[in-house]
Amino acid sequence: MAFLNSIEQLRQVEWGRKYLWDIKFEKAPVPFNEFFPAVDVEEDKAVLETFTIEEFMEVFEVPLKSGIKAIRITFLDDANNTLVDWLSDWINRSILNNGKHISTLEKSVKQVTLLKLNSRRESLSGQEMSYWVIPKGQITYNGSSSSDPQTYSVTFVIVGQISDRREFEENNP
Amino acid sequence: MPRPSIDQIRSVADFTTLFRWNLTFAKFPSAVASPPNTEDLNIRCESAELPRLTGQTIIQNVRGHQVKQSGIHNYVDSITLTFIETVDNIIHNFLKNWREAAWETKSGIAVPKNELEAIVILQRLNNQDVPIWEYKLIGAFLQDFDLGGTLDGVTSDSLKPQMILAFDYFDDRSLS
Repeated sequence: MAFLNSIEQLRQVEWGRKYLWDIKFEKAPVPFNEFFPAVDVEEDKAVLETFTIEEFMEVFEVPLKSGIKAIRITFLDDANNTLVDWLSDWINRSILNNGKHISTLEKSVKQVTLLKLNSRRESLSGQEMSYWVIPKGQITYNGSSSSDPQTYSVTFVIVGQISDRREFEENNP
Repeated sequence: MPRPSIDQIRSVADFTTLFRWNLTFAKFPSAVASPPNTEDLNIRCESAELPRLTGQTIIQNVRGHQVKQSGIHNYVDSITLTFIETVDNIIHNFLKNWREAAWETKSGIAVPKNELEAIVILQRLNNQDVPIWEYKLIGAFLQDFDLGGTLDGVTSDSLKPQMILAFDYFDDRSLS
């Protein structure tokens, strides 16, 4: 007897959809403090690196350690380049201090919250993730000669997870 | 259940007709120089497409079975309004000024989005000419146009320019 015996088993499942998510950076510039115009997102949920052991005629792979988690976001920007300027300032001023010194991690991070939604666009219980992140790599302006929307792709390294968002908001009004 | 009888069909309300309707520009694009009177456009509008929303179907193929789910719904890209031009060039002037606001001849200068957008309302009427349904197009702008065909030496038909309006979404409601 097979496991999947009837199309009715498939019909009982509410299948996931790629567009049911939302994201917001706290204290992003207006109007993107209310919503963040991301069009694609990738969130590392778990990272495991392994160690390879070779013995006689066998090769084994065993768990070794976790790895760096990151969030990769592709987003739109407005006609004033509000977001790319905000991200550039985050790196150039808040972190690199215009080349004078590097800020501590505590002063370099910003908070981002990722939601997973159901088809009613309600946040799925227990899947609201808030992270401390820093941008990684370069922020590059791309000009071309088409009327395509202006988009950027930026990787944010997760340096901490905010376990209790309410507690954070009370301490950071 | 038996099929409907002729008396049942005779007892339903009046059937709607295709020719009773009105076009209104509730808001003209603010950047358009000298916009026409909305009544001038309504009088000249010969036909108007109704807006609609189309849904994507998400298909799950699992080992030979295929099940479907309703996916993202998008408003259709545009609607087409067909006008009958008059010798005072009301439609041509409106088309040219709207077009120039979106892309100025030679320079390519464009006005900001909110100055380029109109709010367009289509109303269907009952047989007493009372509005019974309204379609309100939000964020309408001139996406394309057709000035009405080919000039020739034998045809006495009217020139019928078309406006193809793109829009973000429409809101429709019953008025009866």
